[in-house]
Amino acid sequence: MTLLDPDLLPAFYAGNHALFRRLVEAHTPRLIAFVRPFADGEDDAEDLVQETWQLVYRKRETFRGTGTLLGWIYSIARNVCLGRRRRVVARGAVSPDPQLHMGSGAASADMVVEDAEFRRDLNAAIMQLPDRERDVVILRLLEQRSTLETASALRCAEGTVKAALHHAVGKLRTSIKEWAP
Amino acid sequence: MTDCLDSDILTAVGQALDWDVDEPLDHLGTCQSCRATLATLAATRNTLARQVAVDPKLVDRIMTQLPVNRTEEPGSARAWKPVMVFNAGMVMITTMAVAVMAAAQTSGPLPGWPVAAAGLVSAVGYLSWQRRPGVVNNE
Repeated sequence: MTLLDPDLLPAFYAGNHALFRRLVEAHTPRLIAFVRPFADGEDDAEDLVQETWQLVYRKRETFRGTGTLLGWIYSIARNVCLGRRRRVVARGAVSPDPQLHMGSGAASADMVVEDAEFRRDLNAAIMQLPDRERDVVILRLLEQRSTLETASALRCAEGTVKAALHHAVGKLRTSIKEWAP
Repeated sequence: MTDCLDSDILTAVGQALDWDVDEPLDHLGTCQSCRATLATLAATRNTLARQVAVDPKLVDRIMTQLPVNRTEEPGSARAWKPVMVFNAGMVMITTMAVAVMAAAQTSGPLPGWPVAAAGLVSAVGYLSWQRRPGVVNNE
């Protein structure tokens, strides 16, 4: 449900309970993964996601329904992460980097940290993309829609989709350049 | 042979290249820029597609924190806001003032009820317009 069915928009604007439960269930697993590299542990990631959903609910009327819902939620999650970071800095309790989540498994701790750092950089770069480019990336790469389908969903020309993806990939590539072998 | 791609993948690649495969694959094999772009696309896709298992209790906790309206149905009117009520009052007063001035310039003072009715109708009209679904309010 990265694109909200136009028929569901009135229920979304109305704050319909059943619809919001479906949205929370559908997008929370992805949101947790998205904010995790910025969080200080698992509980903190859940707090960030909880705060994100509260803002999504409060700001639901500002969603125009012309882009992807997930892209719009990501932009709110970005603001939540940045806001939390600013508050920590203001308190003077900031560490150079948030503690990276240490997963379990066969990989060494170093590899896990490196992977988390890479994801954090890439997540930050995705978050910083302009709305249109982020929507195109979500629809083309995550939902694997064709250029034509993406153009139709975003109500723009196919050339616009191609250009947006080209620009987005260029920016993402630059942002993760230091990770290239 | 274990590193070889299976026929499903090769078919997908062939279809994506419109079966004009030799030149693009030769280029991809040697062009560092295209390989870096492909790697970026793959990393982005994998990052976006990443999900973690979520405890159902977390969903419940999030829902209890949301002041979601359990009774509103799709398409129902949206919540009242103080600024909306204030604006409706201003619309009503302005309409009544205009009605009084217009009446004074033409046929003398009006009885109170048409002025009040005009103000009320304009305020209700404003509220109906404001509360229709899909109105963006950046408050």
